[in-house]
Amino acid sequence: MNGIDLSLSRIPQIHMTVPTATRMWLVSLCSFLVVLQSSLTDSFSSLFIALAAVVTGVFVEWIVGLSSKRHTLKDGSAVASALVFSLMLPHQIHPLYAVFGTLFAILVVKHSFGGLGTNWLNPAIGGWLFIRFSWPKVFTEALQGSPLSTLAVELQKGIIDPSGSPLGILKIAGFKGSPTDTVVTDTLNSTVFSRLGAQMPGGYVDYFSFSGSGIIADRGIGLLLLGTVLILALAFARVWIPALFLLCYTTLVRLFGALPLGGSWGSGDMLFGLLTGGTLVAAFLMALDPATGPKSNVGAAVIVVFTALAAYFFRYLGMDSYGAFLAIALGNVFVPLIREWESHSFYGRNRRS
Amino acid sequence: MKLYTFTRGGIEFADPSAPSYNSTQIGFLPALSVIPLTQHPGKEAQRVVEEGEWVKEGMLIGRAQGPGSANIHASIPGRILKFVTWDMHDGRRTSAAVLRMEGPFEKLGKKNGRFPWDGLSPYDLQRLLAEKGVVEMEDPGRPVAELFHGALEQKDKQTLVIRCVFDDPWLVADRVLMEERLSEVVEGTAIALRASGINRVLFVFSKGTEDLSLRFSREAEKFKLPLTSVMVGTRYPQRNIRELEQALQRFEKHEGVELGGLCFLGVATLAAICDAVAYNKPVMERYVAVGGMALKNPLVIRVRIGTRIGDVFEECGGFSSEPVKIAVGSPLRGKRVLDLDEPITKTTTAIFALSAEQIGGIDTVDCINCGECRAVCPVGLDPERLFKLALSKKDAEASREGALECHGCGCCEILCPSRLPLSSVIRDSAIRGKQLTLSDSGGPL
Repeated sequence: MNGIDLSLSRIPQIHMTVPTATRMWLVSLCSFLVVLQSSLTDSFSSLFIALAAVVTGVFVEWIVGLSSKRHTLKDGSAVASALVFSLMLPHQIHPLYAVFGTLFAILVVKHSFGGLGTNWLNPAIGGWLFIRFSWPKVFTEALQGSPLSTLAVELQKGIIDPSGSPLGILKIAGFKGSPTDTVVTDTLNSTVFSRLGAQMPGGYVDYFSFSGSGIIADRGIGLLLLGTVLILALAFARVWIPALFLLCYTTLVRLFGALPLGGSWGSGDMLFGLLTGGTLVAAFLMALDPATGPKSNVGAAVIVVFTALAAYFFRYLGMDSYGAFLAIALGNVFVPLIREWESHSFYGRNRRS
Repeated sequence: MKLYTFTRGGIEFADPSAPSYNSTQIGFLPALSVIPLTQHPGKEAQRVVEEGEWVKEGMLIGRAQGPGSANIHASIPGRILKFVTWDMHDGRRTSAAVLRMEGPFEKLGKKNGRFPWDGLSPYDLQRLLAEKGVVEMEDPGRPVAELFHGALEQKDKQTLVIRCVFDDPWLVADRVLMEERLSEVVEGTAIALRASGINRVLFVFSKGTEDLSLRFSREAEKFKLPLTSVMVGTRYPQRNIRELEQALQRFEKHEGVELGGLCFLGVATLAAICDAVAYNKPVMERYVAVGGMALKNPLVIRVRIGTRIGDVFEECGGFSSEPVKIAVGSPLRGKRVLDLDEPITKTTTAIFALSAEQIGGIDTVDCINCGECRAVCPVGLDPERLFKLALSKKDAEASREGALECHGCGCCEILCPSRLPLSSVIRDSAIRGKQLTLSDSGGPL
């Protein structure tokens, strides 16, 4: 559509929504904030990874634009995809893998199906699957020492916690809370939670400013939350989609999340499930992606519930720490079927009459 | 009072750059006017005056030619300087009389003598309305005499529906007219009933304008009008015929009344009917909303037909910033004009000058399947799919999937974040699809 002057023949003379490009740049801003937070505690290694992804994304988009004579760099989608993809990478991985992953994401996943809006799989997810399953050893090594890797190793060793708390198992493995975590947790307990008759265990505050090994998304939770507030406040996203995803996911975690860790029914650790494994990125930046989403609210609800279920199964029963990303990929696979169903059920002639 | 509305989609539209109904004034008399001989959907009116000829205020200058055509009158006295060929904003080419104001006004400022119309038959009234060139004072501008003739020939029960619906702030000219000329609107309704043979009136008004409904009802008592008031929503496109019919179907069901066929008229048309029949005045002026962010002083102005829009903008203080778009109608359904000499016609409800900020960007990017278009389509179509089919020239398929049902309200296009010309392309595809269907069935193209 670029370059076609339709200004004379068009009937509405104004537009009332935030333009696509602005949306893309806001997603980029939100992702960049996460990268920034992560890079402050890893000597800017996260920043280099993101930079490698963005430069590759921009270059590939430019080359594709040259060959197809459709310049789409200004729509911001290439930068947004590259940045979201970089959030899914371990902060210790070599930037070269970010280059490979972005190449795959933009060139194969996005453009082989016609570009923005026509890809059946989220490009960032596509790039991540490509890296993870092409170089599994590199991926695993880059995550060594992360809470989720340690948790998986300890569970394989047969170490469990009677309360079903992942933090309890991590404590056994030697993870200790920072002094900041202790101070903030104590303050919250004495001022807020004591009035509610509850008590927050130590260790969670650290995950808002996590500085250990992990994927970049898990190391920038604080600014990620700020970014999502920005995206939602500008009212171009359907807030209920991430809300439904998180509600279903945390409910499942609460009900059954403690069972694999040695705990009992109904005592799963929801907060840990939310703050780790890229769950928030999956909810706010991927489940919300309209290009790989259904047409109607009903279809979106079906896919979101399915994705949340799959995220729980992959992570807690399949013991894959990044089950949320795999669930999004699986959800994307079913979207074309859902769309076909929606076309007949909601927008067909029978329905209208 | 119960609120009736349409079932799905639509948008709430507010525009601070539209004039308020308190900011009104009577426009100056234009030194030079351009009066097109096509201000209706039918054939161009045949000119009955020559270049250089003197014309009086209200004198016939173009005679209707066949169905859909209407008489055209001089809105000011003066000399016809020349006839020019004019491309209207809707793409039609027409002749237009360029008139320089000279000589005395015979109607302006004179006391209105009231013509007793009570004894006239419906056919006499229709002839009178046709003679005075009365058309619907909004697009498409069909001659009302034809509408009434059709209604009179109908044997089924019918209802006259007065559309006093404000789903768009750019309909403010109608609101001003209701404030300033309510008695003429009511008398116009009485004349319309007589001329059409209809014996039931529905006054359909928007929520928030209950005062207008009350005043209309009080005024209607003078003429003993068989009136019922219905309150509808303010969501755009509530004023559209399809959405209004939907609301009225709900009213019928709820109230247990049978409305039968519906004949829709706007308040400006009713005032014009009254002027023509009761005051012997052809259509020479109308209320026009003038605004937009690029304009200094948005106003509702009562202007003479043929006044150039550049002059009207000047009367509103001119531009405060360089306008990026100038258009007539409403920002939601308006059509762009490229010449400030474009004249005000009988169907011009509003003119506006938009700033770059107000347009919301014009660069189109690929569809991201956000679904905003589907959510607001009042027909329940999938504009994204129809648009993609239209771009691939799959017009027959698009028609099967509902492109023909699109009535061009433009909701999808207004909300599209990728700024795609959804509504415009779908309607073009529907036209092509219709032609395909006709050619397949051996019908006329």
